Amino acid sequence: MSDSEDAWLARIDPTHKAAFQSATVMVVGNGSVGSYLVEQLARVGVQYFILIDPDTVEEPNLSRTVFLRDDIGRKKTEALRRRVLAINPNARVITEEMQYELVPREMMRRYINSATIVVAATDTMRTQYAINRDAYFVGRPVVYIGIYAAAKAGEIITCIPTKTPCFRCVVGTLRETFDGSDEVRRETDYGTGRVAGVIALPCDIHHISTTAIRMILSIIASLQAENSNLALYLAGAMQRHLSVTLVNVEQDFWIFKELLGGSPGQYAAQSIWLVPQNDRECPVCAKRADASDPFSANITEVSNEELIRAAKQP
Amino acid sequence: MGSDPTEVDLNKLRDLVRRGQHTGNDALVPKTERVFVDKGKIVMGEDLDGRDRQALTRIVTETPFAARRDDEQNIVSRKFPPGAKPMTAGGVAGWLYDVTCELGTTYTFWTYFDEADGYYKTRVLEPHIEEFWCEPHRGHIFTSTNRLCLDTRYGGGAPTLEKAFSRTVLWANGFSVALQTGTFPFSL
Repeated sequence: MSDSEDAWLARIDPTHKAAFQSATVMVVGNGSVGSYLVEQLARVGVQYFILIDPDTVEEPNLSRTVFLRDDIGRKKTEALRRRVLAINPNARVITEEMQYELVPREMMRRYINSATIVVAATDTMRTQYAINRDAYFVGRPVVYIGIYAAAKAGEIITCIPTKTPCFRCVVGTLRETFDGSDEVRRETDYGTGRVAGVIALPCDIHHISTTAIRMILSIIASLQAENSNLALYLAGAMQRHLSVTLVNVEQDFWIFKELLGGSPGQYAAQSIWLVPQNDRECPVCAKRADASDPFSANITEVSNEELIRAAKQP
Repeated sequence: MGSDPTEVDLNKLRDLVRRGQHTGNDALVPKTERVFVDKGKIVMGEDLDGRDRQALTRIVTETPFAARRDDEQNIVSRKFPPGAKPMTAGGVAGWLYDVTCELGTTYTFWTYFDEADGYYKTRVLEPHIEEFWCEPHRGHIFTSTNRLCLDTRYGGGAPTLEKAFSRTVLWANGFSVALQTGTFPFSL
């Protein structure tokens, strides 16, 4: 890209420009979190994206995503691709308009191999787990973003293969520590198995997402300027094994009240950083040398027809 | 037998790999049956004499799938109802079995390992729940696939086959009560 073509990035720290421009970011889930995140990354110069989402833009999406009224009826991936190209016409955006599990496995291996970092922002835990297994096997860092009930708070889980516990281990730690916390649990749609959409302010969702974006940029920045302040932001947390970040936007919510409520000068928004534990039996990260190739496994859900057909066979 | 690739006995190599896969635990593979790579060439364990051991890369021949399947077989034969049998559907291997609950209703279940998230899941094949139950949330069942919600902590699955089975039996008994009273008697 020539200097004149680069003029729109004049206010981006030149220390990081090359790293941002050469990074490939794979974003699974292009909804309220994913679409906002992709736009923010595009605006700092990230220009290679792999976008995966099966959904179509609907009217209720307009209140909390980057989509416009003209996008209604378009696939979210396509609408987001247009958004990125409107910011940077030189960007290259690959899209998959299907559920993560339905992307051909060898294609997914190539995608993850080519990605600098993966972002998991889906509304399905099963998909988040599948991303964990795939990315850990390939050795790519993943940032997982989850929004709690009514977006009063959220979690950001950073998983760096061999350096941090994997997503499965982290979720296990959180469950053991906070089991029964209905305050943070979002209702699951029993028809689809997906987390149900909630009424929430877009600024609350984006506040949590923005913290995650800084982490993603920190990881990318570390590839070319490991001693820069931005790179050291997440590296410092990783050195202290703080790979789980809880971010709230509402004061005295959930464990924030217990942990920070009595501290003078504290109010929302706040963050709490946690050290998760490895599960010694974890099939994903405990025995990496023996791990089976997840890309050779079928991860699509068996259809009812296939199940009935199999049961009828003698 | 020599180590030149043109002299590798491919039938023997195949047998060693297969035996390793069925061992289920790579540490248990006898030294003479191990397979190595030396600068891109296959070397069998019995042909290692005189080679630079530091330059060798061992090929792990076990497959966790084979080990898991053996473990599952062991649990099924000891703890599942008589008549439980393996069944593969859509390329996914699982176990088909009947459970008759305290109120006399018999359910046919298929419990399998979900490669996507690494948890065991259960689907109900009989009776056809959708024909007489229309409140999925209160029935602890994902209606699009007739998959049971065994434990909310594990995405509706369970971390082991044994736990999935025990929760399935619990679900069957709870669901039978729910059919009569309209309410699941306990939370899962």
